[in-house]
Amino acid sequence: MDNNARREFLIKSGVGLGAAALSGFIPGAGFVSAASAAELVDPLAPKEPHFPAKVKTVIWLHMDGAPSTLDLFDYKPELQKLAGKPIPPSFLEGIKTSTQGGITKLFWSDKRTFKQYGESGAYFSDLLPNLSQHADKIAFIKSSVTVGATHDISILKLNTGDVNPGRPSLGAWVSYALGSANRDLPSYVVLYNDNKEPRAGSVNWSSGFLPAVYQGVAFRPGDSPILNLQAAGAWSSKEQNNSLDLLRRLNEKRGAAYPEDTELQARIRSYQLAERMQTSAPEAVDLSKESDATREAYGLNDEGTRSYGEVLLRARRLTERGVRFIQVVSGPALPDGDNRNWDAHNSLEKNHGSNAKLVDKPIAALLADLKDRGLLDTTLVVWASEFGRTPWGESGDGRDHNPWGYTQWIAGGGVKAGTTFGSTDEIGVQSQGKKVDTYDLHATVLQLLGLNHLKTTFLHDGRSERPTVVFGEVIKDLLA
Amino acid sequence: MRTLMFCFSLIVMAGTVSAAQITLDEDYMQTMEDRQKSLSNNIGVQNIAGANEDVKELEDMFGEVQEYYESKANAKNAVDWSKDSKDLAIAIEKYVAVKDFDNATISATTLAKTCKECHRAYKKDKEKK
Repeated sequence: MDNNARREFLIKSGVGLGAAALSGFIPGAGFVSAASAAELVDPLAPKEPHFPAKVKTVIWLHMDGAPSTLDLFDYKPELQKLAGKPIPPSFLEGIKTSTQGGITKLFWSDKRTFKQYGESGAYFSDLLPNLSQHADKIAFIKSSVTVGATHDISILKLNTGDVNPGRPSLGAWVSYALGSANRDLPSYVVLYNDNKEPRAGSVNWSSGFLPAVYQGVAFRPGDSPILNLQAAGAWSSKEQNNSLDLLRRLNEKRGAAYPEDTELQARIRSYQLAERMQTSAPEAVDLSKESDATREAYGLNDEGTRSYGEVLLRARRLTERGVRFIQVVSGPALPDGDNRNWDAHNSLEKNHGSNAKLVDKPIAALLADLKDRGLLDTTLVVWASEFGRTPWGESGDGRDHNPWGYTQWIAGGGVKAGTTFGSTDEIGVQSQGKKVDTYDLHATVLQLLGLNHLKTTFLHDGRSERPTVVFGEVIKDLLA
Repeated sequence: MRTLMFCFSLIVMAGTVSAAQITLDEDYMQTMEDRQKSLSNNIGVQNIAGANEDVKELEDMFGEVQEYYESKANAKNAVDWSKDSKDLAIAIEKYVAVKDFDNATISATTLAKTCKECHRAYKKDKEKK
């Protein structure tokens, strides 16, 4: 049996594992069969959403290490009053508090102050003097919950919806469902400001069981975000063009003989994307032409904000160029500095002073910049973390992990700005009323992109998979 | 789905209450989870026969879970959640019967969320850093 006959047999008989894995639901087109999926030679072609989208791009800001939102947004006068006392047992009903630090006395920093901002009157602490000026652009989710109290596991859940590796990240689902809006750049980009990849690594921007073409592309911080983008050494552009031309002709000849070979088609496309990126990507990530005022606004002139400001400025440039999903992971202000993330098990004041300073000015600048350029209406900014932190202290002046109640927020197109959804109890242990799990946040993000999370599906190993696993509910109160 | 598996596997309940009652051990909860996964998938691929088989099994199992918790003190939430789950399973059966897979999917999602609510309160955690 030759190659063609074997492939034809497998496709027609419907038992070709690769073909089956490729089949799935295409937004706007319904289910496609295994055979027709195998014939899809351009997986990144733009696809229509299920309904008109509110936003084109998502900027997903992951605050690595889990900030204490009790010290940023979720003002609790009762906690302040009860500081130094044991936690009343009634606040712990219904939860299993098995985090390492145990339950100690309630903690409140004597340096913490809160004020209300904007017409919405949203509370911000002294740690966020710049972001507070944008109170009326933000919709807070103050009843966030998640599973687990271990960073790697909960980060994975934040990004993929599951606590075990293997599922696609939200960005990969978006890339799969909508395709690319700019064929010269990846549709899903990951940015970080540390000198090494974020903890737990690429599993958090993986395509999982979706085809690999949908995975995130990580851009390094600094002046050369993409490795090997420039032609090597003495190779002239003419030599490169000749070489690529030969490669293209050989691949096309092979491809003509085996038209069902989608892997070869994908390889040809990846060479073409790499070639196009050599021209477009350097310009997309080059900050040198940004005005002095913009550089100052993003904090590029201050060591305490520069690294994060650069990645957010890069995020804005990628937004302008149609990248669908930009995942930004916060890191330390300085590569070898202290307080490498928000994980303040001790010395919360020092830790959060450094980390809040790192993100406060750049995020405020991003919101203002997007607004000024008319991009905020078509962009969704998500401020998320793997969990929050407890109201009781740890190590005297830190806080432990809290998956039962914490704050996240969204801003941008289609968002009911200047509002707050949900709340925690009087001292900030548990969410009250309707809780928002990571699946619900994912469902809401997809909704704003014009995608019904229940109908964004992919057939994998005979199972109909979706981004929200078997959960997920759009939080309509967050939508304008 | 492994989240559910993990949660189910962490539920360790007291032994048999009576001869007529079930034991809510790992095997039982794993069977429920497998059925629920299967139901979600069968609705997704619009397999009516498969979805019917799953949902009938789940109706029976949630009925047994309800009965189990009714015999326990201080478990009103669990009784309510298991009753809600049984009602959702019945609703799914009706949606599938008329090929309303959209509403069947929504109800199956609510069912999964109800399971999660119950696990938050009744599972035994083994979290670590």
